Amino acid sequence: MSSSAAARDSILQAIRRARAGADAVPDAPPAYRTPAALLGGIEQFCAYAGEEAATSEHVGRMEDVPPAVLRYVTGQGLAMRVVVAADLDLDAAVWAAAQPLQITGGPVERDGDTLVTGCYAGVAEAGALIMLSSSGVPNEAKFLAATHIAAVRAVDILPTFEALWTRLRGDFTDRWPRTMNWIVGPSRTADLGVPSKLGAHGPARVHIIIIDA
Amino acid sequence: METTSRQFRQLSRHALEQATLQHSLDGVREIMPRIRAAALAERGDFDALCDRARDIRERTLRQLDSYLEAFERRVQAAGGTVHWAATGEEACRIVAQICRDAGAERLIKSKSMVTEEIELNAALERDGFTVTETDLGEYIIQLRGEKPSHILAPSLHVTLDEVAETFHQHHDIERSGPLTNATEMLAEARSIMRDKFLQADVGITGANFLVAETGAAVIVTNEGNADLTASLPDTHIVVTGIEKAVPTLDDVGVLLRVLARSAIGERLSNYTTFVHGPRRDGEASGPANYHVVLVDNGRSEMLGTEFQDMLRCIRCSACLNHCPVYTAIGGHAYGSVYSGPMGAVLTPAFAGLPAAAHLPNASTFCGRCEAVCPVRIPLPSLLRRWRQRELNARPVMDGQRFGLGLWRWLNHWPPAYSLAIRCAARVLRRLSVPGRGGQRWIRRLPLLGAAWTDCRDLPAPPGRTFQDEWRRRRS
Ligand code: SF4
Repeated sequence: MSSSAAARDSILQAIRRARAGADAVPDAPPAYRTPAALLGGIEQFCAYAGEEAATSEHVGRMEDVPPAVLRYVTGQGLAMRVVVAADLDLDAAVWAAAQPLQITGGPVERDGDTLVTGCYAGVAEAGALIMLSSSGVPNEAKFLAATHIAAVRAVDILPTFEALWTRLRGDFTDRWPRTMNWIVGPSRTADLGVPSKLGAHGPARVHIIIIDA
Repeated sequence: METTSRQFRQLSRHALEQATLQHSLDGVREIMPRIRAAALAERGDFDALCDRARDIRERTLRQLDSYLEAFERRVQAAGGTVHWAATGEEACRIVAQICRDAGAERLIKSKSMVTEEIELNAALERDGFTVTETDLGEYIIQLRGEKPSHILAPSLHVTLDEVAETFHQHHDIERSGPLTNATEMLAEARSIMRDKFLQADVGITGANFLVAETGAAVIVTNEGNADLTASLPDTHIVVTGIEKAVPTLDDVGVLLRVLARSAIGERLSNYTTFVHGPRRDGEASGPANYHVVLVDNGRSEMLGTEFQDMLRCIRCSACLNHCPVYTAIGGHAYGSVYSGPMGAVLTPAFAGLPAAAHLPNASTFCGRCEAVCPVRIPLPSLLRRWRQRELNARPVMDGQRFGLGLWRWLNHWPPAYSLAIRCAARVLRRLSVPGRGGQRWIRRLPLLGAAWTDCRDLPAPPGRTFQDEWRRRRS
């Protein structure tokens, strides 16, 4: 038996010994329900993301995303080159509307790159973007980019964590995505004093484009 | 677990004299309770969430074996490996072996209290690996060869000037002098760290929760370093305590809601990551090897004992931030990686009571820690239990035991008690002088009392005892 297997046995036995004779454990209560007064929608999502230093804007349709990206990149004075993740379901012709922005499929290499991704969902109660690993998007790209622009459909903005669990359980009955990243605003650190400084390791800017249709 | 807790008295005296540390602690005392209170205020159901959080942790601990087994099955099904370590040394050996098997040299780590507890870095460095901490605070104290002074803000005791000096000494960069502001320091750390991330062979992270339902290791950070640590190197090792298991995603949601609010006064930390295993076929990136090391190191021994409640702890640090003792002396005085009220309960359990006997005594029992704990751990009661054990274990009669014995005797003899208290109240009143707010104050006390009045005035009692007053009002 390997030492890890021996440790496994001894740990599990110690746990079982400790609870021998204890009362039966009551059944778990039903999932937590957030009081109705606290439930929010897209407005709450944007406000809470904004409080964590993310910016957001609305566009009407998916095709409006490239011009919005161009506007943001120009407005912020960023390099006219963006890495577009494969999870954003837009073909090259649509991106032509964002010229002279140079579009590449990645990878994110240089510190300073701008990454544009889609998004599995948003959660209003925390202003959080919910991203899943997929075959098309290297997971680390979301953390190596200096600017992250995420497009999320308004219908995918859920009120609470519980609503997210329900959706995840429906979409992935057994095989969970390898990683799920929740992102609330830019990366930051409080280790160099208060207030926190943005852009610790991950993006220093997070911009959310909400697609209303 | 190595501690210097025996020197608690000297270390705390030293801490009280350090002006820069005191300045940082003033910040904790003033800012942290305020931002926590503000975050709670918008959540009218916070008390209900804390009750839920307590019940979730309690229920998990009572069935910990089955949740750990379920978690293990899930990780294995996703292609990962789960290792079990009864002690800290075993855990270090397991991690070193995984690194050797991966042919690794350069390791990166994101902040994890369990790895501090088991002194993983020192063990890996002894084995010839280069380990770089990637959380900025951890990186700073690693360069300085120090221990964390706060469980969430490990470099709390280091001033900005000292950070600049540290970077100047350790970073191989041509420049005329130390950096002058936080923005420059952050930019430098970011660029140095980028190379470390990209070159690392193994990434080591902790985990805040292990979800039995899905097999996820949940990792919470603000900097994003854990995500790079978990996704860039070819091997990812999660090292965490066995008590981190939680049954379901619903449970994680409740715990996340109370964690960030209690810790940093925010709704959620910037990055919450759920890792389910190694890279899959067709995936563009991610580690090919995924390991989870479950560390016991004294935890299973706490189960079923009077200290079991402590295993509910989610390491939010609210009890530190609200503790009048922690915010006066900081973390290093505790001589343990776990400081404040939670550290004063955990350290005797992990390092043995003789090594840490001072810590449970370093509390005024004001009860703020229990009041702010999001999983409702009765910290003062647990501290009191350690005190009892410590007192009973003392081999000889000493001053404290004698004093407590005398007090006990007095309490058993009401006439003697009344007389003694009445005399004390009068004498103290005589010693007092009028002071601010119409209150009378005692400036100097003789004998043992001098320990108090050397540092501050003592408010004088009213001169009458409670019993006298009671009698007067009833008649
Ligand atoms: S004991 Fe409670 S308040 Fe202290 S760190 Fe643990 S969970 Fe937070």
